[in-house]
Amino acid sequence: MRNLKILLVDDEVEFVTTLAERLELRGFRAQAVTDGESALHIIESDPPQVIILDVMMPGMGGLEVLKRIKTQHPQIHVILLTGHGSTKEGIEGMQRGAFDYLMKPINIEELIKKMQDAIKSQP
Amino acid sequence: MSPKNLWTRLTKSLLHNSNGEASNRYRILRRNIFILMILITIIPLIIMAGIYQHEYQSSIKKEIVNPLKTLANKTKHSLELFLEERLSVIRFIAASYSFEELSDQKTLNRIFNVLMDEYCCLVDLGLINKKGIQLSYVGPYEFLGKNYSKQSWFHEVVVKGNYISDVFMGYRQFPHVAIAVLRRTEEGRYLILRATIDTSKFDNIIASMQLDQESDAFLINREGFLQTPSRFYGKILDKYPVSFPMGNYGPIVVEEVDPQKRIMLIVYVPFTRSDYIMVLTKQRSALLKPWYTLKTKMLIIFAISVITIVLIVFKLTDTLVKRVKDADEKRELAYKEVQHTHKLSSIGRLAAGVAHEINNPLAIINEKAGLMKDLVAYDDQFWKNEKFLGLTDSILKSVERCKEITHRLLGFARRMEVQLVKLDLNELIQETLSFLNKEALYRNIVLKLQLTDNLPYIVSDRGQLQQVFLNILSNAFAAVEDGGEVVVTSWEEDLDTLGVSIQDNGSGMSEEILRNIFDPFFTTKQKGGTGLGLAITYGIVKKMGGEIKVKSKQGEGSIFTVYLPKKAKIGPGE
Amino acid sequence: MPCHKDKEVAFFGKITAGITHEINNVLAIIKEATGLLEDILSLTGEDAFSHKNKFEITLNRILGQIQRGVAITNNLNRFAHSPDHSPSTIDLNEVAEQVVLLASRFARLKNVDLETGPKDGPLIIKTHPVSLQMALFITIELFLDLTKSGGRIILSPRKIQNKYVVGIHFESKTPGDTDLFQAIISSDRWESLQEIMAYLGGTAQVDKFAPEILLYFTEAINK
Repeated sequence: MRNLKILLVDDEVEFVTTLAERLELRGFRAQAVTDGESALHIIESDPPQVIILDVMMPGMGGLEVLKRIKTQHPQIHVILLTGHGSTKEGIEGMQRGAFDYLMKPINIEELIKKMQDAIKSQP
Repeated sequence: MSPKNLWTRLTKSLLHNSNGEASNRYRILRRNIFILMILITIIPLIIMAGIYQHEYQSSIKKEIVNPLKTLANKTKHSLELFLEERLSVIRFIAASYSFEELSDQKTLNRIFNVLMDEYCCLVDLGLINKKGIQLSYVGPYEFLGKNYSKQSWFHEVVVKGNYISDVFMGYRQFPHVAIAVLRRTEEGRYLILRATIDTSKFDNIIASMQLDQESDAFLINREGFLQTPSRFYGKILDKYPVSFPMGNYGPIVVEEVDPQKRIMLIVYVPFTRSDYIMVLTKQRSALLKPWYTLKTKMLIIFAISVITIVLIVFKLTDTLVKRVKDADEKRELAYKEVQHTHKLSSIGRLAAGVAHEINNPLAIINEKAGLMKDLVAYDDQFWKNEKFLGLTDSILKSVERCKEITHRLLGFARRMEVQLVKLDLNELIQETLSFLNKEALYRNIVLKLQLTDNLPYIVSDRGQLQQVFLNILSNAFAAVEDGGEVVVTSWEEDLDTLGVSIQDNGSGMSEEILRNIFDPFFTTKQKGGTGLGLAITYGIVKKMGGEIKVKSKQGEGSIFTVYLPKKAKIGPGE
Repeated sequence: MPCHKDKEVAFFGKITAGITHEINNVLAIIKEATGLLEDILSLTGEDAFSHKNKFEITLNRILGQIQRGVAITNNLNRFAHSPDHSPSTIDLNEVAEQVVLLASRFARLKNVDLETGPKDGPLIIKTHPVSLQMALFITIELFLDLTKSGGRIILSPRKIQNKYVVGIHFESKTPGDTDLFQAIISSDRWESLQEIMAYLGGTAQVDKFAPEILLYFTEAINK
């Protein structure tokens, strides 16, 4: 489980950078970006194994990014982050290939467990 | 105008009118329907009644009058026949006997007796020579030797060969008529045979007419003197008091007023060979009694019909209008329900939006505090002050962010009730927009604000204005694609009015949609959408005394313009 | 327009404001706790261990408040969406719990315990959600008016002879003090309650013996 490469995508910079830091402390390799384009860039150059993706983002929205990932890099597991008002998007995301979704504010332990489950389902 | 359009018009007029007009409206409606229905039912009835009356009148008159004419004519014929008969007998006698025979008293006597047996009513008989001297005579008078040469009848009989006199009172005061004929003999002499007839027979003939109490039949001469007794107008030789037509004519009917002030229907039939005129008269009212009775009956039926119609129409109209009023009231109530729910919904929407917004900063605080926990757990030397101070600072920033959001919500919650306050319209627009910021951000919608500085204050209800702008802005957002543009402009339109326009570069609307856009229950969404948002918005703006207009071009976008009076007119409690 | 509609809007505002205050409280606590963290950080040397302890405790407090904040915003969200479909089908048990949450702040101010009674199976009716919440809320307010401090209010939705009822029971801290029945029916709120219940097609009654206010609801409101 160590050295798992994770990419975090969320438009709230304070949130995403802090979360990345916490994951790094726990031994993961976490990178944080704040928009969909940058995420796709990194996926091309340095693809992660898991992507934590916020659905409510300006510009290219989370579901659009999900679509691109699943078409070009279907092996990357995606876990969606939703607010309490957008569980609908979460469910839709899962229909489109996301592994699971979590509601913000998240419980980091829960997030780690979900990532483990994703890896276990299909390494 | 299709039924659907009519219905929409009615709903619109109902929803967008103020309540004060309501009771008046129904009174007017009731009155109008009542009048219309009365006219529709009664006018044909009147026309029909009029036509019937006219037709009937002329045909009945004919029916009633014709028999009269016929009767008069027949009687005249009978009378004429009577006279003709006598005249022809005398003529025969004059032709059959010689002058000498007729001048012989005894022969004349014998002839007279035979005549008396065969023909009634003969009173006397006599021969007159061409000098006018009565040569022989049988009868009750002393005419023997009398000279008639100076009398008009003598001249007449000489010229015409016949003569029938007018009636005169004769022997024993019975009415008599004299008839005379002239014959020229072979020797060139002419004899005149004269007889007198008792005209009481006339009365029998007239009596056989079987007239009723209101009728009268009699003869008059050309000078207007009665030749037979009249029930109404006097005895024989009295003057007939009514003016009658002169000249020769067939049987005619006239209407005249008699001295007793009665309107009489009078038939005049002039005799051809003599000076008489048959007069048959009947009181018009009696004559036309069956017609009058019918007319009265018809009138009563008509009156009853009209009264019945009026009563029924009245009741029907009443029921109808009551039903309409009930339906309108129910609809109004239902609409108010929906309007209220809509209002609560729009408030709820904003509150929900806020709840959603707060999540992000809370998530940040969560991570920051979580990180600090991690660091403390991992590293005993957790006194990395700068780092930690940075983290706590970040938490505080997020807390401030939350506070701004809740502050907005609080202010909004406090102002939910209807009240008139002095507002800065620009500030209100911006506040409303702040609730839509997130959506604009996520969809990359470009918001351009062209709000005139120092816009004058407006006195209005904050909550309702927010509802209006929220509705129009939501629609604008819904109309544009992601990355579209929404421009909000505010200005002072004139001394009393402020204007706000919301323009989008979305798909625009067709002419047809534009026409119906403010109609209740009209929506272009395939599913969902009550179609009431704009209708309610329209209603609110109108109630405030403002105006709302929309222009649109398909493919280019739409622009909604709201004109608001600086002093809104709102009643208490909406 | 029935004036309870205006009251509904006022009710909506009141609750929203109340929730907002709660969130602000949460934020205030977080703020203070963070301040405390800063203070601890500014201390140098001394007992590193005890400070670390304090630090950790404070952080846990912050995290706890976050959870609370999330619960509150969930509440707000749920409440904010209640006028969306009216009338709609709801479970009286759920609504009773929601109203208890919404009113907890007001009850806390008077030291009154507010809770729901034991559940008795689902009680599904079709009604106007906002008016329903308002009716329950007014009943709670009515009881809160009657006490200066202390007591317990219990909301128990149940079925009485096949009718859908929510019983609101008040246990005063000082029982027998006042004639509860009289106090209830002479209260201003009692009239408002009657109005709303009439609007909902139901009735409000007082059970003298409990004493308990019983709100009878129809199974399906027709509108």
